[in-house]
Amino acid sequence: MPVGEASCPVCSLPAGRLDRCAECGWELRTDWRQGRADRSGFAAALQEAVLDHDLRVAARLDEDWKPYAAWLRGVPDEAAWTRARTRQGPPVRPLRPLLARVLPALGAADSLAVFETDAEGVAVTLVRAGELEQADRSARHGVTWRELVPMLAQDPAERRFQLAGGLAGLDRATLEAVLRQRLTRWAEGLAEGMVRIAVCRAPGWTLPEQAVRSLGSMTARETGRVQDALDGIRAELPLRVPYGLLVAAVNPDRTVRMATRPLFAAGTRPGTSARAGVRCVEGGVAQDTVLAVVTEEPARRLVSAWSGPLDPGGAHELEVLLEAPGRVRLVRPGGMAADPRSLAELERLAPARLDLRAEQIELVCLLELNGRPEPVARRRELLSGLFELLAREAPGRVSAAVLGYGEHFAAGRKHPAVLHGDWLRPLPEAREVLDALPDRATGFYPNAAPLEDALHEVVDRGARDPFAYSRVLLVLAGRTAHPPSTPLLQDVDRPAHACLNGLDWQDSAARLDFAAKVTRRFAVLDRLDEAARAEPLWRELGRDLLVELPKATPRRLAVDMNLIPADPVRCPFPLADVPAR
Amino acid sequence: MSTPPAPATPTPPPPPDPAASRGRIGLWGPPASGKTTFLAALGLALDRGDFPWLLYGRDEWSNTFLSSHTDLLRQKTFPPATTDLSRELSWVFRGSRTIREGRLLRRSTREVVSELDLELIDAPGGYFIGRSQPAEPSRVRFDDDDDEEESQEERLYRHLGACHGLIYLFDPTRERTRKDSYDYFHHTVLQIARRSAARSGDRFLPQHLAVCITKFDHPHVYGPAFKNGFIDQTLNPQHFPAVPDDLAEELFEFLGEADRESSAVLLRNSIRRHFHPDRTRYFMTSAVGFYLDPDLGRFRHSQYWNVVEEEGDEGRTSRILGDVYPVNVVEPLAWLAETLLPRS
Repeated sequence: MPVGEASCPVCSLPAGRLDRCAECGWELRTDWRQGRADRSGFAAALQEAVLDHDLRVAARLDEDWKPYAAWLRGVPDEAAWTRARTRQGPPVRPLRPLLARVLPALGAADSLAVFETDAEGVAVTLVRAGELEQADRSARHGVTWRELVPMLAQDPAERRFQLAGGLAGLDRATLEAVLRQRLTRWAEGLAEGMVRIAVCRAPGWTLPEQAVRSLGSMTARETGRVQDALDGIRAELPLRVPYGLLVAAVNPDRTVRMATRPLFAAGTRPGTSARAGVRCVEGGVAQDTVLAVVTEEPARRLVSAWSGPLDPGGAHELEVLLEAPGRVRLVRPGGMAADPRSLAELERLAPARLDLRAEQIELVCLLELNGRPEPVARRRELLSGLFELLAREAPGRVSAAVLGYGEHFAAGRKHPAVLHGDWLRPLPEAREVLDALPDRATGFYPNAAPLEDALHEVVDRGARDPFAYSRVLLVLAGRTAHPPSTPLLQDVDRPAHACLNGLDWQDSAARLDFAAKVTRRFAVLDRLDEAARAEPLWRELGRDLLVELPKATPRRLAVDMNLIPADPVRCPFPLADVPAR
Repeated sequence: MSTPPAPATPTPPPPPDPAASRGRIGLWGPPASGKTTFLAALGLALDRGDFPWLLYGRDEWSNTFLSSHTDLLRQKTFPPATTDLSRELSWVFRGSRTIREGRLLRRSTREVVSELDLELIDAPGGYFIGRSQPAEPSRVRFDDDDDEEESQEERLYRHLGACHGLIYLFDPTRERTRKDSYDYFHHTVLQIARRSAARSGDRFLPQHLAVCITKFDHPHVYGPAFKNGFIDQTLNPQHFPAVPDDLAEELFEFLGEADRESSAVLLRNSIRRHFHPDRTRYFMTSAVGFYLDPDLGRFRHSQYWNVVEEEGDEGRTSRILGDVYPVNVVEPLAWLAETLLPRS
C-alpha cells in the first residue's frame, strides 16, 4: 500500500494524513518517543479497539451480537457488549421541518428529489411542485446496495454488518469511490436539476450515512417513512393554484363551453370553507347534477366530484371545505355521492347546445267548466298537466291566471254571474285555484257557453294590471260564445241565446292586444272540424295555435306555445350565471 | 079557511135561438209540431188577452187535461209528449158574436151565443203516417180480430173528416231538419177528402183551415221574419212582434222558399189545392210566446227567444225561459168561429 493509502486498523477508513481516524478515533500517528516499544500492550489495545468497534456496529443492528459473531474480530464479554450498546448514536435530524421549509419555496416548475438510504439500498421520491397536491403523482425509484457497490457481501446479514460499519478487510477507498461514482450517476439520471434532500433512515450506519452526504447538502436522519412526511407536509400546505367549480357557460349562439367559478384562491390554507350559489338547468330531473371541483393551472384537472339529484331550475347553496391540497369535502347540498368518473368522462356529459329560457311568462287560462263528461275531464286534466310540467321545467318563470266559466242558462234559471277562479298567481297557487274550481254541472246549455264573460274579464283585469312580462292567452273550450244578441240569421244551424250581460266577444277580442296586453293566443277545442276552423271566434282566439283536445298533451302544448324548448336538453352541470373564466 | 096558493108554474126555458150555432174543430199536425203545448197555451192566452171567449172541458177528463197542462206552462215547463191515442178530448169554446137580422131597411144586429166544439184526439204525430211506402190496405176483418190500432187510426180520420174547421200546425224548425211536412199533410188530407169531399159545395174540401206556423219565437222563424220586414211591434203594449194577418201567408211562402230542400212549397201547393182560399187563413203562432225581460217589462229585441235547451246526462230537454205570452193561439179559433158560424 503506498504511503497515503494506509487505512485505519480498526475501521479500515483510509488513514490519509490524519493523526486519528476520522471515523473511529484510533490514534494513527504519534510523535517519536524514546524507549522500548510495548508491542503486547499495543496489540491488546488494538484488539480491544477493534472488538469495541465491531461491537458498536453489531449494536447498531441488533440487541444481540451473536448473529454477527462470525464477523466480530474477537469474542466479547458482557461488559464489552454493554459498553458498546450504551454508546449514543448520532442525533436525529427530522425530515419534516426540512420539507416544510423547502416545499413551499419551490417554484411552479421546480421539482424536489427526496433521497432515502436504508438497509436495502437507496430510493428517491420525486415530487413536482405542480403536482404537489396530488399524492398519487409522486414517483419513486430505488437501487440496491449491491447494485451500487458489488463488492459488498452477498449474505444479507454480513452485508448489513458491512453497511453498518463492519468494513474491516475491505478496500474502503475503492468501495467509497465506487459508491460515490455510481450513486452520483444514478441520482443524476433521475433527479437532474432538482432540489435535493437526502435522509438517512439507518442512523449511524456507515455507508447509508456516507451515501446521504454525497447526495445532497440538505440532509436529515430519522427512521420514519419519507411518504408519511411528505403527506403530512402536503396536508398543511396552502393551495399553490386556485380551485373552482366546473360550470356550464352558454354562449350567445347557445353553444356550451365548460368554465369554472372560483371557490378557493391560490394560497388558501386547509380548513377553509367556500360557499357559492348554483342554479341547475331546467329539465334535468332525469339526470343527476354533477358538482366538480377543478383547477385550471396549468391545465384543467379534477380535484373532487360528486353527483346526485338536485331540483332543476332552482337555486342551491354549495359549501365545500378544503381539507388539504387535492382534497375537498362537500358540505352542502346533501344527498350527493362521490363521483368516480374522470374529468374527460364528466365533460362529455355537457351538451353541445343549451336552449335556455329566461323570459317570464304570464299565462292566462280560460277553462270551460261544463259539457259532456269526457271532454270536461280531459280539459282539466290537460291544464293540470301543463301546470305540472311548467313547474318542473320552467320553474319560477310562469305565473298563471285561471278563469273557469259556467252556464248562463241552467236548471231552468238564468245565471248572469258565471266566472270562477282568480287572476295571475305564482304557478303553485294557480294550481290550487284550478283544483278549487267547481265540478261539472249536470246540465248545460248546448249551443253556447259564456266565454264572452271570461274574455271580458281578461280585458278588464289585463288593462288594470301593470305587466312586465310576456302575456299569453290559452282557451280550453267545447262551445262557442254567446252572441251579444240572439241571432236573426236563418242560416245559423244552432242559434244561441244572447249573453245575459249583453257582452260581445268580438269587442273583447279586439282589445286583447292593446288593452289586455295579450301577445299570443292559443285555443284547445273539444272538436276541431272544418266548421270550427272557419268560425271567427276560434280564428281570433286560436290565432297563434288551434289544436284539438284529444290530440293535445301537456308537453306538446307547452312546446307549441313556445313555453319550453322542443328538446329538453339535459345538462348535469350548474349554470355559469356569474361571469366565469 | 084559506086555500094554500097554487104552486108557481116553473118558467119554461127560452126556445132555442135559431141563430145560435155550434161548430166542430179538429187539431192536426206532424210529431213535435206543438199540439199539446198549443192546447195548453189556449187557457193562458185567454187569460192574458181580452177575448170574449170561454174555454172549458165538456167532461172531467178534458177539464183535467186543460188545467194540468196549463199549470205546467205557467211553471215554464213544457207539457209531456202524448204517448197514446187515449181519449177524445172535447172542449167548448163559447163566446158571443154579433149577427145581423132583418131585411133591408129593418136590418138590426144582436148578440148571440156561439159555441165551437173543439175536439182533439190528442194523438202523437206518429199516427199521421208520412212514410214513402203506401199504407197497408184494409183487410177483411173478423169478429175476433184484434183491430185496436186500425180503429184508432180510422177514428182519427173520421174525426178530422167530420170537423167543420181544422187547425193545422206547421213547425218550420222541424221542417228544417226532417223535411217531411208535406208527407204528413198529404197522407192525412187524402183521408179527410175521402170522408168529407162529398159534402162540399165546390171542388174544395168543405173544411175551414187555419194554418198555424208555430214557434214564431225561434230564431229560424223570427229571424227571417224580422229581417225581411214582416214584423210589426205596434200591435200590443209589450211591443211583442206580430205579423199582420194579411202577411202571414206571404211569410209562410217565404219560409218555404228560403230552403230549397224543404217540402214546405209542396205543402203550400197542397193546401191551396185542397182548401178554398176564402176558407183558409194563416197565423204566425207561438205557444210560449216571446221572452219578456222581467226588469224592463217589455220585449227586447236582443233577447227574444223564450225557449232554452239543456243537455244533461239523460239527454236534451227544453225549458221555457220567461213567462208565457202565447201568440195567436186564440185567434185561429176565433177566426174559425166567425167563419164557420152563420152571420145572419
